Amino acid sequence: MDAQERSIRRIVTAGLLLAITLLLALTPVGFIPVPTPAGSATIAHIPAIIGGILEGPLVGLIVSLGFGFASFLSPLVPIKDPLVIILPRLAIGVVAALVYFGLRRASRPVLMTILLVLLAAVLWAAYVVSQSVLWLGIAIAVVALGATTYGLLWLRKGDTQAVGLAAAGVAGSLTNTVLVLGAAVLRQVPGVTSEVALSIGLMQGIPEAVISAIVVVAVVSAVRQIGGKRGSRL
Amino acid sequence: MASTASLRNTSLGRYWPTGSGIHALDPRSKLLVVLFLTVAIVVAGRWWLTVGLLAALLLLFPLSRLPRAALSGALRPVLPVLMLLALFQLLFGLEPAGSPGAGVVLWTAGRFSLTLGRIVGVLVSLARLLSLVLLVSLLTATTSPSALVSGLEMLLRPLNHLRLPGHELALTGAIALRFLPILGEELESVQRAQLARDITGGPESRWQIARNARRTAALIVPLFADAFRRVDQLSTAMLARCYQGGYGRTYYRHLRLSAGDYIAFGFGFVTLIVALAI
Amino acid sequence: MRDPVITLRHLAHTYLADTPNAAPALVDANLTVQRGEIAALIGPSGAGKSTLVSFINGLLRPVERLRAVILGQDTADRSIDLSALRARVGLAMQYPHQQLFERFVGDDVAYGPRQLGLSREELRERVRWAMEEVGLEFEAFVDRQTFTLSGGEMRRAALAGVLALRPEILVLDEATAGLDQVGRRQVHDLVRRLRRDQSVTVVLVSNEMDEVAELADSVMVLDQGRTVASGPAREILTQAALLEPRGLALPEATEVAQRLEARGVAIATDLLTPREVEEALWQALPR
Repeated sequence: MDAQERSIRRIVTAGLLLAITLLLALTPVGFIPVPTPAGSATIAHIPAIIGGILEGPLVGLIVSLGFGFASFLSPLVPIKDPLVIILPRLAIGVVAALVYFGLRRASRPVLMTILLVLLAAVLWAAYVVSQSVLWLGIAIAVVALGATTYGLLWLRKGDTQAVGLAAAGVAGSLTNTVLVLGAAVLRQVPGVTSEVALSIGLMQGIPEAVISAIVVVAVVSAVRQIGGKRGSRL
Repeated sequence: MASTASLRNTSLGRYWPTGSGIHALDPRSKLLVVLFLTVAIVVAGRWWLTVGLLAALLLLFPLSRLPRAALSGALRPVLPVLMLLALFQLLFGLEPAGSPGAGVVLWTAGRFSLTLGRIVGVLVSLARLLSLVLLVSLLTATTSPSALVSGLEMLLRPLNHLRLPGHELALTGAIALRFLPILGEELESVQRAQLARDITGGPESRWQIARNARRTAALIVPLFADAFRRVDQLSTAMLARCYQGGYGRTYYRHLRLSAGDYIAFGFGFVTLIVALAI
Repeated sequence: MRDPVITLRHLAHTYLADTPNAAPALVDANLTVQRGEIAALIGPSGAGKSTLVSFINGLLRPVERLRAVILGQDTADRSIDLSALRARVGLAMQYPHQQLFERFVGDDVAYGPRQLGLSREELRERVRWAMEEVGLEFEAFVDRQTFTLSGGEMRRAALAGVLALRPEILVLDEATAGLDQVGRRQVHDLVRRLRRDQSVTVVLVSNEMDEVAELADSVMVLDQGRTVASGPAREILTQAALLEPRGLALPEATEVAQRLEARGVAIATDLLTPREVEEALWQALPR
């Protein structure tokens, strides 16, 4: 594919993923019912993640921008500060692209090491947090251990490409959660204190990250025939 | 299950073509005014400025001959969440300095105290948020989607001279808008297909994680697959027609500025300056 | 013995009612289908055929009672769980890619029956049966990736997914469009087989007149949301005056027969299939 083809492909992909983002952000389809206080998790950030993975950080950036705009325009979102709704989201597609490209060719031992290092870091953070808010620290530790166990099992099955996709999905989703909530706290959006932001982040952000990982893996591996799964589950 | 036809009836900031003066304004000026006013609303320090902007925006709804449904449609989804945020701020929030009634304690109960200043602060925040919501709703209600895209593209055109991909961005936006209804219809059909095979009865519940996940996958995967199929088709078509990029491209639509545009632009600009200065 | 499995009476539906974009899709539609019958639904595009079908498989509920009674269930009754009904009414749609979502063919065909609580062996057998019925060899296709299938294969896979639920009513909504002759004939044989072996009732939505002539027992003509005619196939499909103003054509065999008759050949005018014409001509030709 020459440069011209690539450029066209990027423009068209960005356009179509943008259309899907709008559909997901502005209609009920884009919200999956989850057992959290908010009741539903958004998947409208996923086209941005997929755009970053498949066509690179620039496309990821553009679709993320579109996601920000769609949120801004959506009557369902009460916060209308562009620095909270639009700016932090630009990173979603870029982060996803970087994580995917970084992990794509990693071998299994490397991935396992990364996972264990992450686990150590999160457990340390959990310990620190538990000094001030005990239950929170414990919760973080439990979730981290659970996620790591799952990740290790997955790696043992040998599907490294899927792990890269899942990681990109999680990274993109967490970027969305962390940066938007962080911006809300920094900009002193009424009603959003750091405690509120932290609890929203954990309760919404973690399910959303898990869902993002699942959906990204399902979509990309189906559409691009990536991945080594051998056959149907029958 | 929600009616599949509801996808067409979305909260996509419905466009109500009523042919008023505001509708006739050039989308470029409207976009710029919205930009100015957004900044103005966000930075406005004095409470009377915020309230004044809110009042002005409320007035614009009937001035654009928009039906009452446009205003209520814009407010209805947001009000519950706004109320919640307001409650939060009432109980836990800060008091903006210089607001009338600062420090006047009305009521105490344990750790919580209610001061007049805080009430005023909450009202001002509410006004601010409402103004932003109304501003955006006004924009989408008075400007057709294709006009918005044309306007955006023209505003971004100077970027081309700076060797930034202004044209490409606008083209991306145009493709997105073009395919939005198509993908919407596709999604409706996919929903019908998925529903036809979804036979587990019982009430909808957010606790049935597996079932909800399967259902969503049955919707999302075909949607993306269809989108990527169209990416292949459109890319091939553009290549076959020797698309060369934005340089030297001619345009079908020509937008012209009128007196009303300059007035609106001036109003927005002045408001911004005032808000920044005070 | 009359055993109506589908009764639609004065059915009406408007999309987006009470909004400025309201669009009436059905105004006064009537349809009665007996068990084991093959009923065809024809009409110009935009006539409301797909909307009508949505009432048959419980996707839409009529507002008033007794407007739509499917398999004995009044779908206007809000206490009835329509998902149970949907297991008994299968819908094969026009674009198979809108239905396939699993990565592997076997999984997609299994999506429906998996919800029935079958054992792993039973599930596998059910999928095998469905795939063989549509002509997809089980071992060869069960682990194929759905997105690598050809158009015809996708169509069969989608059909298998519908059949796997063993529906009592099968609705084919333009489900043979794009199939080659062989493929289409296989679907016709399948339809006849299902009717013969399991008394499956079939509703065929199609504008392929030859196909309708080949299969249908009865025909209902829908135009702008109204039932304008319904009756035995031989009655409806042979009236040019009824069909042509609506942009529909006579089946080719019928047209040939009627033209021959107009030119003086002693042949009946209500023939439907090439075979019937062949037989009639053989009788009419001087020996």
